[in-house]
Amino acid sequence: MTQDNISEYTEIELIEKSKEDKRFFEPLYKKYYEQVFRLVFSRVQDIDLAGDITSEAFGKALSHLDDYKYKGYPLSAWLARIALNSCYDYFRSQKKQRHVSLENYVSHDIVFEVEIEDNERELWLTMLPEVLEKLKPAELELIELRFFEGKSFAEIGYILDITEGNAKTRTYRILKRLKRHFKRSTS
Amino acid sequence: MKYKFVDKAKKLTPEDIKAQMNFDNVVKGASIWAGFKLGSAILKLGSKVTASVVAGTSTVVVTAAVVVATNTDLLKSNSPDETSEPATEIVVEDEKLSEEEITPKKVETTPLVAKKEKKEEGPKPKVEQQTEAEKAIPKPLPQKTVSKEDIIKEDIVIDASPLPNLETFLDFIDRELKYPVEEIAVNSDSLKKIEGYVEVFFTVNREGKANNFKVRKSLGLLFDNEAIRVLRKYQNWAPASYNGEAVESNLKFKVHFKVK
Repeated sequence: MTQDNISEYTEIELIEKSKEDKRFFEPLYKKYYEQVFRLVFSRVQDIDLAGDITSEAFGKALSHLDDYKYKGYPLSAWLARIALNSCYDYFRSQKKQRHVSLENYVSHDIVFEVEIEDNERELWLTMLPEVLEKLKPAELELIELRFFEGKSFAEIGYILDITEGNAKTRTYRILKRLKRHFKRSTS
Repeated sequence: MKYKFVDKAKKLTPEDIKAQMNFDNVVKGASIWAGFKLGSAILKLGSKVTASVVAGTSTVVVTAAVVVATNTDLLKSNSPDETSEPATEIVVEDEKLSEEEITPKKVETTPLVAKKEKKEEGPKPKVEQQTEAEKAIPKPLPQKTVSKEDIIKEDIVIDASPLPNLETFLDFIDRELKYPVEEIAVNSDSLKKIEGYVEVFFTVNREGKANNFKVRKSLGLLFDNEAIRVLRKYQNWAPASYNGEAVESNLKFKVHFKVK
């Protein structure tokens, strides 16, 4: 089977073929590697480690392709789900902490959602660790997947194994809490 | 510390990422994970995963060294708050849900209410309305050569309405509706003065039959039952139509009770 032939298949066909012959997975690997890598990297902040975890995630995905059923979510969501779980697997087993990049919290739309005024940005930045500390990892993921990765609530729900409505409700509940923490600390 | 905060994320170049790619290793590695169970509950919301991580506080905090000192106090003051939080907020959620449930129906039903207000103008018979709507489809054709697709895009929605016309329907309600005075009189005289309306919500199916009556705004059980009893009697409806095809629709109607 030549490379040209492989590229003619659709994604779903490729997944089906990959179940028989793992070589068919390569185009998908190439397509999604960067996406998954960045997702992992933003949480571990280490290139080699991110590479390891990403490979692990793809390894898990490849060995469990039979489990993947197309339910309206792209393969990327399934991969993200595996990658995130691999990340937290690593954090737990190695007693390491998830990295949180603070710059995201002042540069994305979340600033508007929490209603941070322009002159409050500096304060918000210094307050952030304290405020974010109060969030559970999954809550942090909700916020980051939504605002930094720009994923839909449906997809986030799928990644975190909750319903779409639940993802939405929780996200806005968390935003409300962030806002409250911030206002309380500043007043 | 649950998390390790960094001010700025390290910059990644595509080359960095490419350098980490190794599909052959993944294929080899895949066999290792074959026995591994996916979809583990590591990241379940509400799980206490981080509890074990808290011990590792040796990591350097870049930004918030000062803030950490006050951290525990804040946590304490917040904790009772947080426990009470879910209960109150669940209520909000429920309200939202029921609101969502109602709002689309409201939109559908407004024409009926609006028509009722314009009663003096005399509502047009239903038949006429339908023919108008049918005419509306071929109309644009002679003006310019519009392709079929363009026409289909214009959805024609006609709401359900009583037959033969709204006046007949209102007359019927007036005639049939009885103030449930006997039942109330047993209890107390003062209750006779109750006035107001019952908002009934119902479905008009494709055959033009009304069913699925529900009370949206109640005025007491007796009034509710009376309102539904009368509305149920009237089974002569023109079903709503969507692009000329009869569809099921929901209507809202206020039945007013007045002491005569």
